[in-house]
Amino acid sequence: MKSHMRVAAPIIAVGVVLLAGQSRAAKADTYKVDPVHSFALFSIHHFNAGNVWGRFNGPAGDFTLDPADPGKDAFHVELKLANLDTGNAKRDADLKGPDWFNARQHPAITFKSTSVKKGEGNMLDVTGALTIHGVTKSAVVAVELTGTAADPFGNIRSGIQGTTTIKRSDFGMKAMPGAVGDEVRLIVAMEGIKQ
Amino acid sequence: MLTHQDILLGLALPAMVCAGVLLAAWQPWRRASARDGRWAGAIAIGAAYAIAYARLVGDFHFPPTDSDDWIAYVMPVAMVVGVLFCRLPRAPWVRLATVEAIALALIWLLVRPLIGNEFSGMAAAGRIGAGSVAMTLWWVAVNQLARSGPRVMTPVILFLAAAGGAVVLGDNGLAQRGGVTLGALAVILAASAAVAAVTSRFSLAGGGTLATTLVLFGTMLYGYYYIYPDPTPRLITAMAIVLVAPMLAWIGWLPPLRRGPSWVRASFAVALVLLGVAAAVVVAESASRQPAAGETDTP
Repeated sequence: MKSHMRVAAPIIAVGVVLLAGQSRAAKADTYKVDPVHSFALFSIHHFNAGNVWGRFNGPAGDFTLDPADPGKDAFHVELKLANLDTGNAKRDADLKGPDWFNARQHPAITFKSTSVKKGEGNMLDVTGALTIHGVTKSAVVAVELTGTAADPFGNIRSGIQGTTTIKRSDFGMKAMPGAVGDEVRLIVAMEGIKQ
Repeated sequence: MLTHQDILLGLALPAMVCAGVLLAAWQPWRRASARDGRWAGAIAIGAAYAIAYARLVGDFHFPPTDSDDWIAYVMPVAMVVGVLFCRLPRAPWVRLATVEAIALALIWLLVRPLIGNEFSGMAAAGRIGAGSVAMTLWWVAVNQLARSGPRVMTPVILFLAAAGGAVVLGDNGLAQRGGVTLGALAVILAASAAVAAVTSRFSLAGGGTLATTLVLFGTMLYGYYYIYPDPTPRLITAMAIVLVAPMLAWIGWLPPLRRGPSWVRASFAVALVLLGVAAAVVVAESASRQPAAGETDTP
């Protein structure tokens, strides 16, 4: 009997540990955005002809994912205007100036989720407060959960990609109407490291 | 880029409002000694500027999302003060203190979003104090020109300064909140100069110079603090020349010009101011960012 217990005890212990690990994976996990592997892009129509693209380098933020209850997911994103990059230094300076984003007065664009609804498949409908140019409006972002995996260094990484379209005039940015479109498409792809 | 509607409602309409208010106040069709319309200067320029700003910038939140909106919001205060300056007995130190208080408040409102980020509270206090004193002294100098100079001279000088400021800021990243707004002020001042030309007795002294000071000086300060990236030494020089240029008119009061006919003095003063503004524009053009080879300068 004692020999059976000596063999069974480690097996039982391993089983308990595995079961405990399973229940931990089911809880909400918070991920801090890895700026090196995250991207925030925008595009806007120019002279009703082409689309001008730009990006915000080094996005920051965090998100919480609860596989058991997506309604408890949460998303927080911050894009610094100093990191705006459209590939043209003069345009970047103009965009950061008082006629457009007014970066000195409003140094960041932020999004903070207020409610999350499960969509089809890996999609979520995320509603939140989007603040641009000092104006806060409610925005709905279609967020795709792009995957969760471990990296070679032992970190657990999770990815999300959100898209939405806004009108810049809603946020008080009305310069050059007609020459520059009002609708702006935003795409934010983020990879977070589990905390 | 201004549309036809912008030109009509943002420039022509404000000019007509300014001219209409001034004509109603000075009533040039009456005898020369009949009316003193100085009380209307701030109302004419302030109301006209508010209309222009609403059309050309057009985004009024309260509190403002961009601090230069405060310049338009301060106009009603300038209008009331302008009327009081005319109606109440002369008390120079009270007027000086009033203008200084308005200048202090406006500059604080303009730079408040930067306090803590761009500079500390103590540094901000120094900047706001120095800026308000400079703005007040500028008003004193321009107001005295309006009181003692020929009636058309001061509106023309201020028109030149506003136009120069519009070019300096508009060419260096503030096309809308600088170029267009000061351009509108220039149009409004041109309208006041036209009224001055047909009115035997006219002056912008008091409220008119106060409203102009708040808009012109305030917008130049706003441009200095909010342009991105930091203003270059050349741009700062150009902005300073725009503000100093009206002071060149005082050379016309030096002997022997002082003893000459007033039209000679006025012409000389205007010519000097024009030279100063032209110099500011030349410096600003060299300061404006030129596109690199292969780059477009269109945003």
